[in-house]
Amino acid sequence: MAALAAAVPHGTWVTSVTGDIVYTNAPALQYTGRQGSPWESMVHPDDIETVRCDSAAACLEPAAYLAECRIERTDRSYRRHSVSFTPVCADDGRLEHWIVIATDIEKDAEARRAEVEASHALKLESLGRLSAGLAHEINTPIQFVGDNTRFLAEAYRDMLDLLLVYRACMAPTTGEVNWDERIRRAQEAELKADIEYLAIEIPNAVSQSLEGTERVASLVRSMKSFSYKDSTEPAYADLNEAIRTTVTVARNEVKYVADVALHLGELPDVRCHLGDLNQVFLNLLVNAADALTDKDERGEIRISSETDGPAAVIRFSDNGPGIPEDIQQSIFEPFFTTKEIGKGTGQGLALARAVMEKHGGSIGVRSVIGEGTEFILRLPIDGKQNVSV
Amino acid sequence: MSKPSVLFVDDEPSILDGLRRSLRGKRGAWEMSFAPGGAEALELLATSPCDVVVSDMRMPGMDGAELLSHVSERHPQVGRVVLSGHIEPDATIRVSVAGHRFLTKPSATEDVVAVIEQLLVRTSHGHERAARRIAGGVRAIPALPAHAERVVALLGPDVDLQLAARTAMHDVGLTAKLLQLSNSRFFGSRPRNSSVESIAHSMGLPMVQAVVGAVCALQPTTAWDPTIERHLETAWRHAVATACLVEVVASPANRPHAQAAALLQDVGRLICLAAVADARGAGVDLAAQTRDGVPFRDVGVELLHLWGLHPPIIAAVAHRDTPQSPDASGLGVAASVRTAHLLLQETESACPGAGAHGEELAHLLSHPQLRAQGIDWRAAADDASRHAGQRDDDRGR
Repeated sequence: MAALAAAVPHGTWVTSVTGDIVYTNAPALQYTGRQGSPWESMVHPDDIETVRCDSAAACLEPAAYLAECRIERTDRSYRRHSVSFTPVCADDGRLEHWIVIATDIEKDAEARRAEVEASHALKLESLGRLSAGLAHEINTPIQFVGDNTRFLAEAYRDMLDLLLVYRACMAPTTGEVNWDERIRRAQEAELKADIEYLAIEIPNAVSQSLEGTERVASLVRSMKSFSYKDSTEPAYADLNEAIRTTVTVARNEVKYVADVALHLGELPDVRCHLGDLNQVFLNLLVNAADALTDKDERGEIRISSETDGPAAVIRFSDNGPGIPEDIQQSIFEPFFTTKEIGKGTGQGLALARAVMEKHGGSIGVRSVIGEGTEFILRLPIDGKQNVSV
Repeated sequence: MSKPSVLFVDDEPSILDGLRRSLRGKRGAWEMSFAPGGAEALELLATSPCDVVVSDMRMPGMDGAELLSHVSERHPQVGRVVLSGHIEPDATIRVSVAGHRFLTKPSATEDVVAVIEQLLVRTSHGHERAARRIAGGVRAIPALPAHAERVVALLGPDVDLQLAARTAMHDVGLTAKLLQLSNSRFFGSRPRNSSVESIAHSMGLPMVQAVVGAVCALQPTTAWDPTIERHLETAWRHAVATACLVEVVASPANRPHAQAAALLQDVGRLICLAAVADARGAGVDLAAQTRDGVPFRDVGVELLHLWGLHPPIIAAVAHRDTPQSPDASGLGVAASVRTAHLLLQETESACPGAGAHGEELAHLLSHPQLRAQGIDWRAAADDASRHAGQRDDDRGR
């Protein structure tokens, strides 16, 4: 039994029926720095009562139970633990020992928090880069919608002036004026209002303004869905829609260097953490655009999606300079970057790989120097567990 | 006379359409043309002259900064306006020396019209075109070699904002550039008070350093002519001394404008002669203080006007050599600068060629505003002169 206890990677003790420690494994010794004393002595004084109650109940009819309490560490600080107590009985059913295993739940929480913070920091970095572009993408339509509205206000005044002339021409009190004179006045007013110009430009101004407000609205919608906050559980989501959203949000990062061609096939909803996948799509898209920046002519970025058995396959390809073979494996390592200082932290592809692994999927690269690069994402449609079986 | 012409450049057709429509009211006053990119704009400019270019910054191919830099070289007489939705920090350096004026998107039609109309005004009387051509091509005002080192030092890693602000307010080129940029939201929030020091503080250190970098990058690469350098050193010292003295002479409300005007009083001389050191300066007549027949002062005033400095500063520079008789209610910016200038003409920091005007000075010193302060003005002028001289010595070391 000692061999078994020694192999447990958590603090593990064997105590007597009265609670004196008879065995301490290495992690427990390292963690608490003590052995041989009553097990209770390392429990936070405020928690002893709870532990005692539980053990009293369990002793009446020996059964395993769980308790939560703070345990003192070698540095005299307390950490919250989940502790399992398992009775060991002799053949006659008499209670002989307790096996006590303690799991540090604060450490787990800390690790989770660190993970969340790291992914949040990356999100902020990419949003910081995006926000400048988004400002430009919003200010442009605001400028021309404003200009068009000012024009429409002026055009309305001109039309109203013309209308008033028409009305005066038609008024019964104008009875003594002959028709030739009335027509002359109306034509003069039409000329002054430049009615031909207005007839063409007003509808154009209206449709461009509507198009401008729709552009801002769809950008705001995309920003909202892009910064979608994942719950801890994966959920089914439309990845084609997510790709379109990412392309909208990153439009300003891409439009000066490349055209984006979307070849999105039929995809069922995929069980995933959508917020994380958005980050992956964004990183791959921005990387492709960066790869095309120094190209002489306009580049092309192609994004495709399709199903392949139980998996969704998404490809991001560009016709940029390509990635030399000797660094193709390094690109997924954290902090690997070929960009200038300040342009990127080298976390993008490392993050992408981590996200794909979390989904039970994979990310691969194919690149030919002088021809381009393609990143291939494979994701199990029904989430991680179904595929890992 | 033909109508003035304005060229708008943007890669977004809807922006050009919007401008075309909203500016329809100006169709009787301006000839307007529209280009979808930098290359098209340059092509258009090569065949048909134009008075003002209004350009977007981010465009595929040739961007706005590149276009406007080409325009400043090929068509220096053309007013250059940036109209952009966003400028990345990296691009600030290039933009800040490419345009004369800077507008953010969205801008109201009235603001676009106002800026264009200002740039259609030429300040010089009798030398409109030549003054515009000489001043228009200037993208940054060079520092004299003795002062350049102090400016370059601002790019160092352990410079603080305080030092940058103090240096800028004693440097002709940085003062002019910061005042120019302070009118635009691109370069930090607009300060209420227009002193160069407060502008620098509201821009923040990274932006000030970016501007310093831009100005340094445009320093003349050829050596200065020693005679001209000595000549300009004298004018520079006079300007710094006047700026120190006018701090006491001007009322607190007028102080920021008066200090700027004092420092920039001979900016025309500086840009006309910097060209000589550049070996491009045919047409300079030192005795007559003209270039291509245009008085240095006209060139300076045209530059400050193009750069959109506040009217009181421009007026004070324009009238530095005009006798002033301010009314009793207040000295005003121009008379404050003139008073400080005339006081310094009696010191070691005198500016050659400007002469002394004892009678006028006596009259100015008897102004109630100056008498009320109970200061020995000639002693204050000697102090200012010494102070300016010391700054020179500091640099020499």
